[in-house]
Amino acid sequence: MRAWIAQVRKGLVELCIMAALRKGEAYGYELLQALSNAEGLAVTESTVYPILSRLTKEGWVRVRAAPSPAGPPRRYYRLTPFGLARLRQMEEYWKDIEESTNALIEGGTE
Amino acid sequence: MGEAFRLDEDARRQIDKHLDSIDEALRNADMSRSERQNILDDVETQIVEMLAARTQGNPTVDDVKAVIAELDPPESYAAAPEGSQARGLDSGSRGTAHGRWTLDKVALACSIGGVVVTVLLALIGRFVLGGAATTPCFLLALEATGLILGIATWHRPLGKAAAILSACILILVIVYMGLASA
Repeated sequence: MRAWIAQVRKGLVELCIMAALRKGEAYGYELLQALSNAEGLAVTESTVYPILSRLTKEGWVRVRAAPSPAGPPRRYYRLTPFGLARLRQMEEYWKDIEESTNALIEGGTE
Repeated sequence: MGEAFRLDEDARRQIDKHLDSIDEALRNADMSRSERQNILDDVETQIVEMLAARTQGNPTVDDVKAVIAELDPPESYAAAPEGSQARGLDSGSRGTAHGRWTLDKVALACSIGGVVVTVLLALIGRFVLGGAATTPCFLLALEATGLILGIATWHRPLGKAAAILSACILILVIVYMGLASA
């Protein structure tokens, strides 16, 4: 069961990160805290930061550094226009499979 | 480090040790230097912010150890969930985590390459072959390829750029050919 949960969660984290960035920019730790509050998602930094790094590399998000009241500069992430378009695609796909899955779970055969 | 937050040498060394371990784990997961640095910067910011929330400005080695104990162990970065996760929508266009030649890149190469090859052929025709006429076959073929691949990878920035560039070039060439034959 644990392995299955991990697999399901893996695919959703990227969508959740991008969805969380839709509201505006956030720095890594801030984003991690926001996602940690999502029940069942149970994300930690070793999952979130590598995804943020890859999303940056691929151009879906961009980063700007800003001074922090404590320590090194905070790195604020923001969706690029391409990232926003991709998020919409991901959301559409998610809604499709959510409907199909719910229909199957509820025994709704045609 | 900021003015308001001071770490003594031992505390700093403890943080660096943790960051080095993560770096090693990421390197073993075949991650590029820039990606590793991004991750390490985020982890460092998190550590410092957790220390700031925990102490009033001068954290001790024990504070640092306590914060690090709350974090994922460096080995969890080596597990690299990134390599296999959340790539569903793009898996068709990305060969490996650090793929060099994905379809969108090929599309853009065709778009730009078409123009470059055509210009080179025109120069060779003019200066080497003494004014032999060149046909835009290469250009049309490469731009058509760029357009098709660009549309297929429209969801990626380079794919979109390739499709738009190829479409513009194709329109220009067709208009030019129409005017030339008229």
